[in-house]
Amino acid sequence: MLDVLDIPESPTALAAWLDAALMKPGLRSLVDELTVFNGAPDESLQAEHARRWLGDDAEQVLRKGFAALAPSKVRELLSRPSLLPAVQELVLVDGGPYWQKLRQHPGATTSSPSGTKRRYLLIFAPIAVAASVSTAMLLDALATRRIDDSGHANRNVQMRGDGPATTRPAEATPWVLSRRGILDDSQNPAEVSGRLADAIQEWRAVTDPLGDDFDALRTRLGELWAGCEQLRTNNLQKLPPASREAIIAAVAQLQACVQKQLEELSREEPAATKRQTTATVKRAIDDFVREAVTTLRQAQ
Amino acid sequence: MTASRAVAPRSMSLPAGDGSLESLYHGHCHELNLWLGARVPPSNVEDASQAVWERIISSYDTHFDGANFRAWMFRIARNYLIDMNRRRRTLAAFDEDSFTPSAPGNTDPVDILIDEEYRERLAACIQGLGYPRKAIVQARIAGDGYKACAAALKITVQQARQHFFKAKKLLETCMHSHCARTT
Repeated sequence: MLDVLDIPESPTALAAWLDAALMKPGLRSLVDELTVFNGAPDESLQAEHARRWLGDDAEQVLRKGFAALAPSKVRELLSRPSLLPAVQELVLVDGGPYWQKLRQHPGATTSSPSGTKRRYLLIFAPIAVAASVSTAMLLDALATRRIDDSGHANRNVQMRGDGPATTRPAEATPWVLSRRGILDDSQNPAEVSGRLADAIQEWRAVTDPLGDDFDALRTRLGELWAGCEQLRTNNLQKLPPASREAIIAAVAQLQACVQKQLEELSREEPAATKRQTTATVKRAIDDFVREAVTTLRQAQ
Repeated sequence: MTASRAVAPRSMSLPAGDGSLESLYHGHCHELNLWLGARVPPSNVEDASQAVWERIISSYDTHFDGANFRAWMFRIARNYLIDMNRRRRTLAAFDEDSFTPSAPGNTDPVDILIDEEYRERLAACIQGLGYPRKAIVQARIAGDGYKACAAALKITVQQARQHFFKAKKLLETCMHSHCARTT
């Protein structure tokens, strides 16, 4: 309900979270919430204000997103949220491929689901993010009725109501939706940890087709991080405390590893070595995922 | 009906083919909806989008200089919101019980009131959190990590996390009960 309460803790994740927020429908809600929480001023700002505020960093932000800013500058966006719509306008007009990619992400449609669909989202989101599927993608799926009332996804449907008939690329298919109910009201720890292990294990299926796409891997990692955060904080309340703690410890460990690798990916480096970094990070996360899956299976 | 699935504007009678207004509509409507979604309540995005496209269609031949369509489209959209605000202020001047709205592009007084109420309610829910939850939530939303929160409040990181999660639940319940009452 309150998007702002999902704010990530690490500066790297915060920058990625704000990037995604700018390209998602309903930025106004987040701006409103930040305004109230931080007692921020109500300002009406435009793209040129954003450019002035970004100063010498403007070109880098247009190319790479808020990761190009110093953490203190990113935090300034939280205390002055009216800058967000202004930066959004700037990147919608002049943003580079990074922003276009975020916008073209299957989840980034300008739709908002009904209350009922939102409830579905509350069930699906933790599962989806744990397994590295964007919750925004789910939002899109829900809003465009790709999930029928029984919660099953209809695959290969048109992405945009008015655009040319397009199907999702193979790697963006909402594969995780078949795992509905992973974190529902189950009180059976073995069932929950088994389903969670299955979901996390699908990381490979989601990221292997990405090849050496640096930005795509970073996006998926950010989603995995956010999924871990959500799992650790919002769910599993029905499980016995000992089982809950064991599962959450495994998730927390995976999250810590993901965070470290996200920091690796956010370091400035020449394009030539990016491919190598991408491969190294991917290998490391594959190992961590394997470890987390093993731990969860043992907990069954 | 979602904004992205909006039908072409009512008055659209456009030539087909590349470079036509129709192809511009398909190429830019998503971005316009994102832009509007950052400035008007979600329930108003679709109507605002339709109104802006009607303006674009009516002035495209005479006012668009052929340079950057998207920048021009946002100028049209901004002018539309300014006009709507002006209209609302004029209407409010005739109303003794007028209020200061905070929702650009929102012309429906009920929606504006709901918008204002939402902010007020959120502020009240935050206030109701009490110490130290309120302090932790505000510090986290200002960008502080749990470590910094814990150090400032002289508690453990684990306690800071627990307070935040409890606060999150309380806020959601508080806001939810408000929504349930107003719907």
